[in-house]
Amino acid sequence: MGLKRWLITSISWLSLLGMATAAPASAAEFKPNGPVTIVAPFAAGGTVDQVARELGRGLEKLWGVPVLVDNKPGAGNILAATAIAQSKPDGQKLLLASTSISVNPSVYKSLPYDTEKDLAAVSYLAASPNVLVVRPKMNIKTLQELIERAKASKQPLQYASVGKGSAHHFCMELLQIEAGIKLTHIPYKGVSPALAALLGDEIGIYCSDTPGAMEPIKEGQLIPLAVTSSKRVSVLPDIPTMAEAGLPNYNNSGYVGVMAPGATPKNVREAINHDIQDVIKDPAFQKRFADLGYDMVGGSVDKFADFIKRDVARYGEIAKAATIEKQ
Amino acid sequence: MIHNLEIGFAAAVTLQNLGFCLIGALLGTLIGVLPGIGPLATIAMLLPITFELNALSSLIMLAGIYYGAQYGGSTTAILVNMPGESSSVVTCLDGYQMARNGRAGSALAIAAIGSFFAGCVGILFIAAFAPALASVSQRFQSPEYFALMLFGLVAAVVLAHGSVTKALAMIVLGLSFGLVGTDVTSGTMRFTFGVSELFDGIDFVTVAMGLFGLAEILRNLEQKDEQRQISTIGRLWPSRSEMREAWPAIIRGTVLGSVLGILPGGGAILSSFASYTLEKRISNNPSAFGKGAIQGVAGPESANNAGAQTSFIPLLTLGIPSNPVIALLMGAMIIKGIAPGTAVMVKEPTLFWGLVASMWVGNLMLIIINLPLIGLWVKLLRIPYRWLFPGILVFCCVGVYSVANSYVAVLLTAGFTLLGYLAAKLGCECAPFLLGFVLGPLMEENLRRSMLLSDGDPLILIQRPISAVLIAAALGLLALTIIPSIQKTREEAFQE
Repeated sequence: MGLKRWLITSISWLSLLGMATAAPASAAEFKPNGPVTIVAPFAAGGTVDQVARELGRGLEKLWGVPVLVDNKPGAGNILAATAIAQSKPDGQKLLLASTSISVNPSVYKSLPYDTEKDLAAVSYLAASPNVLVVRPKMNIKTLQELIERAKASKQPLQYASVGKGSAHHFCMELLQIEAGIKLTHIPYKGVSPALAALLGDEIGIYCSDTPGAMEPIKEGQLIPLAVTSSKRVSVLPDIPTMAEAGLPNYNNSGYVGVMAPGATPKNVREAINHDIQDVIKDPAFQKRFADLGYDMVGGSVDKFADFIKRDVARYGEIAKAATIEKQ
Repeated sequence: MIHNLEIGFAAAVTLQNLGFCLIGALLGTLIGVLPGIGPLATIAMLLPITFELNALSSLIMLAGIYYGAQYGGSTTAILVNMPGESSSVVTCLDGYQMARNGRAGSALAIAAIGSFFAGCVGILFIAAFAPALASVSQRFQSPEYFALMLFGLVAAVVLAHGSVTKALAMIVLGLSFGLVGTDVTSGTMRFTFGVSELFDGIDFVTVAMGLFGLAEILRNLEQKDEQRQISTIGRLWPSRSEMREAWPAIIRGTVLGSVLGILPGGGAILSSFASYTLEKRISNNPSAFGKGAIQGVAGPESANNAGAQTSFIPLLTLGIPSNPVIALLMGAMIIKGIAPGTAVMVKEPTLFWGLVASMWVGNLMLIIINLPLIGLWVKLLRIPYRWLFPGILVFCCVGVYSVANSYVAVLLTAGFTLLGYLAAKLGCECAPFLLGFVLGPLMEENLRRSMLLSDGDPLILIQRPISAVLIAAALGLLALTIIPSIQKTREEAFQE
């Protein structure tokens, strides 16, 4: 066996090896051209920002390029979404989308971006179910008791929200529609003031994000009646869903996901989606998400695109039924 | 309490925790001195680093940044009239004037001493009364907040040292700028002109930077170089008589700040304004205020630092953050698996008391860091202004941009700079404007919420004791302010 033959075998082995590594690559590989930016619609330090940073750290390892988080907080995701809508559709700039993306079309008369055309789905990340809570002073233990009390009361009962057109507000509007009751909406400027008002007994009913309500629930300062998702929540295993508690059509969860500029080719989005699924499989990653109050979901590009479409329509229906005027 | 503090000091005075406390305090001082780059952005950026640390160390460091920034913030306010945060606006009023009179050293030293004293008292407050104070803060609901803000606005008139009419005009102007954005109660957009950046209203930093810091640059550039140069740097340490004047103000400011600091949402903003108003009210020589009165620096600086300490009370006892920075700290606690709330003190005594003790250590470090630096800061004033102002300008723009990573904010700051310059030319003051801008929206929100809660019955405002007392105090203060000026015009009318 001469040198020639040795060379041929080794080259063929090498090429085989090359093919083996290249094979899945042709199906889906995203090769970023320099640093990738994830635009987060909330200020640095908040829950959604932390989601963006965790995801960024995971993708950084896979891609070998820096993944930066650019915080564009405010105006219910609008600023961040507009920035993405105007970016080059090459996968270098991604949006960490949250519930407001679905809510906005029902709340604003005009948006600087078109939800359907200017934004394209990449991947669902996680669901963030809400929980309906009441103060112990109200002496209500179940959803049915709350509905009965609301029906019997001469003055409408009052509930807190974190602002008109917020996801928390929609959560309560859907409750009123499904249960056929009328409540008075008292908006607060953000989660902390609303929680403070509850603990100070200024107000008794609130639909909270799950992590924010956990500690007061544990200490008996808030009584959980039902969770808003279709499945029970892992941190509150004894609390029924709205459907189990008597409102079969009620299902209303928040979410976080990843979107790209509208014209981003589908194969690029699928390649990024593939890498995202890899990142969120990691148990350490899953645990951190659970700590932040999310139920990890993941899924394909089409799954998220379908979801967004249905979610936008759903909020539109609630807004119509509840006669929430667009601003 | 002594036993608890023992636990706390044992936890805080380890080599590692002392180190993090020092890092936090140093970083805080640094970002406080750099205009625009506030503790909020810094803590947010450092949050991921704390994943690797234990809970106590990371909280000690983050808290150090927060109260360190309060120390540092007064430095730029005094030296170049640049308030980095709402609390240092008041320090600008007399601190900057002191610096112009060649008393920058005294002003900086008094600010540091006042802050240290107030910080220590604030910490004792937390240690002794945290649970009791928490329940007081819960008695403050929408009607009480409305009444408190009303009182604050009336006090804003007193704040001005010129004509009452002009002060009122500036308050109303401030109120109208405060209206910009989405109305909390109805969700309606007000004065946003379809600009998404305005949907959440105008940020405080944007306004304060323009009105105070940058407008001052414009005014300075009008003058010739020689006029601008501060002739004598003066002594670096306050004189005996200055100390005598400052001490009572420090004590009063500390008490006010400690009390107002525990109110989540808006309480802390009021503390330095309230202290300034109080000092001016009870002073034998109110006309000296705004021209470099040392009480006007000592009182508000102490109030703001005491407030910075006691604003931890709602977080540690109720799980309610009283401002965005504290909300970030709460986020850090949750990441560490510690649920903020009534249980922290019982379940995590080492953490709670360790944090409290570290604050005291941190305050001590801050005064040790800051006093020797005064000489250095004062030397900065010797830099020719033509080199100093471009630097200030750049830092301001970076700072304003970084608030929301938006260039619209920078453009707005330019607009407010012009407004501030015009106001100065017309002899109107910007402090009442700023107070109107901050308090107006809070007042409106709480008034309308009170009305919603009471189903439209305005009696809710006077049926509740705290709210009734505050409204009465506001009316009384208004009468005290207006009657003398009415009498004066009447006298003038009679003379004619």
